[in-house]
Amino acid sequence: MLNSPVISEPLTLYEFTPISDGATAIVIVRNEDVLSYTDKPVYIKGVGTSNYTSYVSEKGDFVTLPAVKEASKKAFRKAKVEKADFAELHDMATILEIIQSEDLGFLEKEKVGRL
Amino acid sequence: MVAIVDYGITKFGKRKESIFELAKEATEKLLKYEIDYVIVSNSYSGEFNEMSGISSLLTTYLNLDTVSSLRVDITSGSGGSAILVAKSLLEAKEANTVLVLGVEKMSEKKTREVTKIISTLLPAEERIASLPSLASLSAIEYMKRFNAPRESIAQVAVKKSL
Repeated sequence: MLNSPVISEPLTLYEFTPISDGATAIVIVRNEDVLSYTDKPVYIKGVGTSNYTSYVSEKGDFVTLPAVKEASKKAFRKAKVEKADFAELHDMATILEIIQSEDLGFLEKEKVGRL
Repeated sequence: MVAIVDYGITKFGKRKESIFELAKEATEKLLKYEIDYVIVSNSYSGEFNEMSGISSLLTTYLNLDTVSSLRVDITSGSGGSAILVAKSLLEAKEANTVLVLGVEKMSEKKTREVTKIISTLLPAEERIASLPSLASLSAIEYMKRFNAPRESIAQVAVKKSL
């Protein structure tokens, strides 16, 4: 991994998602209609979104993503749950998955490097 | 509440198919339903594929000509926001069966061009940075502040390749 070509010091080729083509699609319906489609629906209990400044110079802290914190807080609140058993995170670069895991409360800061 | 009742997905990577063919492949087994709204999650069809109005072009291509559609673009957050829009339409009873379609065709451009296009999500005066270089900044700061070994960051990619 570390021997692959450096893309932007210190991160290397395999630490970034590739430029890629593809598509995915889902069909969503209201609760009352679900059973006429499937007996294995995936319920969407809560969705949260947020935003943060686009200015890099105004971000202040590069090891946290405030929009991730805020969006997840909203999603958990709407879904009325306190923790998740599974998460799929934005992984454009390896470091982002670590930072998001911490912002979501899945991992404690400082401990990550020791795992 | 709303629920996902069916799905379709293509293989990802450098594909020879067009953005329309990819969309068709992902939706092939879903078009049997009476779709009454299509939400397209897509960020760069204008820049990567030289087209506008992709949601209408896609409904036409998929033989859903009379079905309402819209495109959701908030760069990396487009997919999640598309689901929120679909959920809202259903809850408002503006639609009964929503198809959410995420599609991107990036490989028609060279890496250098792709990087340049994606960096336009930054304010004009800060476009000296690329997105990979911003991730590097986070990695450098992270290692410095938490005394984290370089290997621990790369482990994320190792885990993904297992």
